[in-house]
Amino acid sequence: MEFNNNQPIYLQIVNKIKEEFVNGTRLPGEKMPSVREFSKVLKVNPTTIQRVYKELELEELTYTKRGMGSFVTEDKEMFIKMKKDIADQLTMDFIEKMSHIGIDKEQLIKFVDDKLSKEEKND
Amino acid sequence: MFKFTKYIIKREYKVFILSMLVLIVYSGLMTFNVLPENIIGKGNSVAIAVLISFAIFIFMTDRLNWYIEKGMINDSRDHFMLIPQTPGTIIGSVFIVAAIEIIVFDMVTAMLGGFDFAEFLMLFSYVFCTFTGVTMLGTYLLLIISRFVKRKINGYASLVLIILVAAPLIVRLSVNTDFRIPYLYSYGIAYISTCVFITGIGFFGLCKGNTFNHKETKYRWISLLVVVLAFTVYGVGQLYTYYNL
Amino acid sequence: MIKITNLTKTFKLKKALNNFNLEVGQQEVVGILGPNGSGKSTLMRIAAGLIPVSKGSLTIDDLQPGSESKANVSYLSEVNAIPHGDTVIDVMEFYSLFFEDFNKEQFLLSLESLKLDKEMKTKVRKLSKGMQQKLRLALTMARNAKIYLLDEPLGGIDPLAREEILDTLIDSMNEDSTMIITTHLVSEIEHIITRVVYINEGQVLGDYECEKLRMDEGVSIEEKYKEVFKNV
Repeated sequence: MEFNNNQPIYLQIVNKIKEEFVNGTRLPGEKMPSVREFSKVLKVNPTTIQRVYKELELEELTYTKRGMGSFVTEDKEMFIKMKKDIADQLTMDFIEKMSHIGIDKEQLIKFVDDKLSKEEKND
Repeated sequence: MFKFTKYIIKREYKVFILSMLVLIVYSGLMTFNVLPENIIGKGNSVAIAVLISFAIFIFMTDRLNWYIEKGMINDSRDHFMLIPQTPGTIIGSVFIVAAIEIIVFDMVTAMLGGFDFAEFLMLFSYVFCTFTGVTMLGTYLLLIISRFVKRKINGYASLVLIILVAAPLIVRLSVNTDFRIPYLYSYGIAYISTCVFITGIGFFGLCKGNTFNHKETKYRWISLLVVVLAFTVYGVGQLYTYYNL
Repeated sequence: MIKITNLTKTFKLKKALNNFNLEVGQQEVVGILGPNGSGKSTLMRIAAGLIPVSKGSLTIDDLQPGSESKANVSYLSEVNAIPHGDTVIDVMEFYSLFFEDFNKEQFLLSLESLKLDKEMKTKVRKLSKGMQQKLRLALTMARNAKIYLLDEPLGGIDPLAREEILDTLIDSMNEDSTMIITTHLVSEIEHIITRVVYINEGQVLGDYECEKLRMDEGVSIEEKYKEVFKNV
């Protein structure tokens, strides 16, 4: 995993994991790797991973089974919510970036429409 | 201390046995008149035997000295400084191994030379205190020199220094080439107290340096005491000789 | 765990450390970054008990550096201090004998993953610099010590070996490790340290929690380094 060194590493990892939840790479109820394993794979300090797991638990995306480690939540509602959250964030980013280059609401919607129709035609 | 002593013995025993073999073989050659006399001459072959003993002594001293942290000011590379042992422990271990080696060395010499027990004991005392003196003073001088030149002294310089410190002592000892001296002869006491004196000085000097962290004051007092005691014994011995002859 | 108070170390006329202050708590992995000659190695050597303090104090678990603290501190020196004639097995036996917290199995496993397991009988000085460094790191990390002091663990070796060393380092780290790492290779340790201390001419120029630095100022450790040292 490539990191952006001027943003908190642990947040970047949290976001990546959320993506994995949403796109099905990690399934509900699945066991998360141990702190040590994960830190080896990502090549970061185990303390960072601890922080990641703490954050995920705080957001109720994972839970700890005593003596067995961390598990992905089985609450499908959480996944739907996550998907919505990520979509929200991406949309906000998109709108902000577009407005930075001076594209207004109507133009924006047209852009999106055009693009999507072209995609459909090519399928 | 025993851990480190065992460690040193494990590393040194092969070399030591080899050097003993050299001594025994040469003595054997001498005894059986195998050495070509017209080349070496009877008197010279004894001198060579002494030289061999001297060389073995220097060699062993240098090897054992290696284990002692020299407290070089700029670059403490010595591996042994990392282990949880005090420098005093390491020096103690070196002294123990030296004592063992010297006992064996002197036993061989005594058997070859036909010494009795008192003479063997005297010989041991001379050689052992020469070792401690050379080691402590040599190490201290190395510390001073290294501070002067601001870098670590390599192995050869250490060897040279040992020879320079040991030579006058051994020469002095060999002036009376017959080691068979009566037990309480004042010459023996003078020599031994000289060696103890320089052992104390060396120790005291090391205490001031980086060898002992935090300038462990108890070692300084002990070494100072040793120096004073040795000096007193030497002085008393000299006075005794002067007034009784 | 480690308390450094007004630490000053003078060599002849030069102050290698000048009123240096630092407190390292448990489980922190502190990176001390600075140019050559800034005092990093001197600090480590004092903590490792190799040289005495001139002024001020340094304590490890309230102990002054000495034979007691050495049992709790695993130190990786900047230079290779392994005796000349020693083989890999010799050094392993040395560590095994004198350090109670040395884990032989872990060491042998590390050697395997570092591809040094075939070199047991080789003399250490015959190994390449990179292999020597890997060996020494494996030895250091195979100890289950309270504190690890790594002085320039990545110094002077090629990028590939460096990566292997970083991997080994992370492999051996667990959540309880307390470490101090000095280096001038800033980018390599971005993801390993939890706290960064910038040092120059024996003094602290800056002391930051890494993630907080990224969160609050949006800069990487490397960028902050350039910022801190720009005006020096």
